[in-house]
Amino acid sequence: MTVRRVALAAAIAALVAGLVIAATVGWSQQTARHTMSQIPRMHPTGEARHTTTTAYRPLPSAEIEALPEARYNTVIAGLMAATDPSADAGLSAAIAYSIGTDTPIYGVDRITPVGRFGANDFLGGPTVVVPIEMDGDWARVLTPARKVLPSESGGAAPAQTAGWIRAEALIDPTPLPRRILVSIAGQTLTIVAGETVEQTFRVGVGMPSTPTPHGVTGYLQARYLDPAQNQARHPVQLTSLHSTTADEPFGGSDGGLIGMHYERTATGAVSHGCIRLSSTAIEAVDALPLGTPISIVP
Amino acid sequence: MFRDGRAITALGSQGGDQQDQWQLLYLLRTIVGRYAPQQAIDVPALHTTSFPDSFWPRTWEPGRAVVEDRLGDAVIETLGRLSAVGVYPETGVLWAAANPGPRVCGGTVAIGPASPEGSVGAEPSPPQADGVEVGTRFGVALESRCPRFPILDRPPIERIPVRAPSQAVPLLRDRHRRRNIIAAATVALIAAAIVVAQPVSAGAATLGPGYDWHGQATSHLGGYLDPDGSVSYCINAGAPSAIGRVTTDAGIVGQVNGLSPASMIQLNLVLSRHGNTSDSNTAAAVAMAVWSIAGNADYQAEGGDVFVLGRAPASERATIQSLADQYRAEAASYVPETGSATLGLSIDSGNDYLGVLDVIATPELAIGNVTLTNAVFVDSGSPSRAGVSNGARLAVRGTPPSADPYRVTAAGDFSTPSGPSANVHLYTTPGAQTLTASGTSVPLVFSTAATDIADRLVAGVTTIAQPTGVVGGTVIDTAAAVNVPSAGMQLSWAGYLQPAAATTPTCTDQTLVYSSAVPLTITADGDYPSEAFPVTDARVGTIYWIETATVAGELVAQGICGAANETSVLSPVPPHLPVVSG
Repeated sequence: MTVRRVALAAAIAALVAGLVIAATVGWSQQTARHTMSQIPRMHPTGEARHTTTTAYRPLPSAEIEALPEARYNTVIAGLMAATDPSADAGLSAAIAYSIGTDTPIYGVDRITPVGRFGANDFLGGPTVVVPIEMDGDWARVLTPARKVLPSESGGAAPAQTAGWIRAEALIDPTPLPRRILVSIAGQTLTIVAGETVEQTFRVGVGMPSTPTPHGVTGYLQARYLDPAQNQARHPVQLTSLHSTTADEPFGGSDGGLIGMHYERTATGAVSHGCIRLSSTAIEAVDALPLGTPISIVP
Repeated sequence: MFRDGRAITALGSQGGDQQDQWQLLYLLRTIVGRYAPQQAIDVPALHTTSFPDSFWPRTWEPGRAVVEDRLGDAVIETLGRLSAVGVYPETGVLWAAANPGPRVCGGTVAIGPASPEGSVGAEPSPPQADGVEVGTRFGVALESRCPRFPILDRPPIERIPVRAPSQAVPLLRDRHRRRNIIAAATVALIAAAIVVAQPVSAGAATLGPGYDWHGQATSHLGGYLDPDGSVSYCINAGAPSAIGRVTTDAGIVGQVNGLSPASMIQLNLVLSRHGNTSDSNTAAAVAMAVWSIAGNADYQAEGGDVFVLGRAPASERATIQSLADQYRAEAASYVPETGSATLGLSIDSGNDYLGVLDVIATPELAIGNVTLTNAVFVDSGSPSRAGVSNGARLAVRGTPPSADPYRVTAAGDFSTPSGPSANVHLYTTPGAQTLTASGTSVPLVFSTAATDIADRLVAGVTTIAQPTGVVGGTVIDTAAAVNVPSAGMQLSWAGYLQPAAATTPTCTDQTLVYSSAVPLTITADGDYPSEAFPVTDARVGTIYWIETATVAGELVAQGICGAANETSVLSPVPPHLPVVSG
């Protein structure tokens, strides 16, 4: 890492931290997953205090519920693609949050909501939200949904999407001290804390026909044991990334999900897109908090 | 007659009670009046009938005298006027009683020789050691009292025409003023004895409704009015009349004349049903019936129906005889009520919980109270019922004491309107007829009971609930029913969601989440699942089931909240675990 990058990362981190502190000071801490107190941060007709002016209006809950939920198996066209060729986003994704209530997600115009986060994810636990950029009252966060199917985009759909949400929706901050770096060419997975490489493992990656997406930063979305997938000992580590080339490279209908899971043979370009890990590797990944960014480089 | 121990005269006479009186006349005339014997016999005689005849029927005629018309009007008109005088030896006070005329009450009288009018004044006379000195005139002011016996409708003096004897004998009036006084005094003394002897008190029975022979109260056919106002009847045919005597209320007695209890009931029956009357024919018939029940032997010896009917007017005799025969037949045919009742319990063929109680009771007027054990009457919901009578048909519903087979019993206590007891109300008159009036009545009570002829089975329901379920699936509770009435039993289920904060099983209206839409009707023993309740997200958790069984709308079985095997744990649907592109 260059000093400039470190300084930039530190500055961004400080900015984000400052915003987070302001957010936590402004609202009471809520450990329960219930609706936040509605303290408007900005009047819709009030003066613009930030660089970005928006015509934001809070949505009534009925309208929010009518929005499509951004989940691992949904496709929401209004989301933005989130590429990260230089894996910078991994650096800025330093804190993971929850949201107390279903939260609308806006596209690039931050005017028309395109979807929503459910307060709880498919496992019934709090949905983890990972912002990669703050802009005044808005936060650009990674989403687990697809923007478009590969089959409808010529076999080149983004592997990761992002959307704008109101910053005040973010609650329960959890620091993300480490991030994961995967090298397709090197077939390695490295756990980095700050600038420190902590562990490196040899991993298996996708076959050329069903490659693991790269040049993108996603995050650890959920983890679970699933005997049906032959994963009864080491939890499947589900990322927010999707296959770029195939709707369902492994069949099924869950959306070409890219996960990290244990395999006895965890080397070589042998998977349908998932990253195969040895037992030590999966245990190390399993110890990381949800929301930990995963940056995949070619 | 003796003088100095030597018989000097013998005399005698015929004529029943007249003997005493006529011989008295002779004695007075010869001893006091110094008549010659033949003269004493020839002059007009008289006698009184104001005393009970020595011969049966012992009649007497108060205030009456029978005189020869040879006495002449002047004497006869003064006869019938009774007068009496006396003295209280202790004090020397004189007393007198009289009536100025046969039908006059009140006024003042004087005691004196043949003087109809009275003289006013009351002055004590010097006491006379020997009593009244005949012929002495007293001036006494008196207020006479009316006789308490009924006024006769015939003149008190009966004149008997008598042919004058061949030998002319001077009449009393012509003879001597003193003889007039003797005659009057004789009658007065005789009458006085009668008046004095006649008790005048409130304790005397008096004539009641009926008829009298020639007006003679001693020949009465009918009832007597007792001091308390009731009507009583003679039961000693042949005994002297009780009129004018002191009658004592002897109260209710269980036996008279040695009669059996059955005869006492008959006697009481006639007296109760017909005796208290003011109608003469009825009373006459009652008297006849009473005599024949209470002492038929004596009654027939005295002459029976034919004889006593002579006391009634001829026009009424047939009616009275008919009534008497009717009363006798009534008494003879009366059988004391022997009530009885039967209860019958039946069980509905299709439903051991239902049945009918039939009541048969005699006599028809019997009313009873019925109490059920292990059952209630369907219409009232109570095990007791009053006012049950013959022919009642009452729906009964069993209330089993436990789950074991049981029987219903019914017990009934009945009573009927009363019938005559074996007793009468007795009025006694010393030396005279015994009178009886109606006695008491006795209610008739009897009881009965009945039991089911077969056991009633108790329907039972045991249930086992599906232990687990998941949202999107269903949950059922299965009931095993035994002793199901073939007429049908309804099953329904209710599931209650246990509140998170509750520490013991809680089943309330607020926690009810599953409920049978329509009760399931079953008609035979077996296993019956409830409807398949869809498990939804709002109804997951620990569910306690309570089953309910009813027969004909009545609850027969119901589960308990938290009972064993009656719990279902329902879970939300497990999340789909995404399949990664292995």
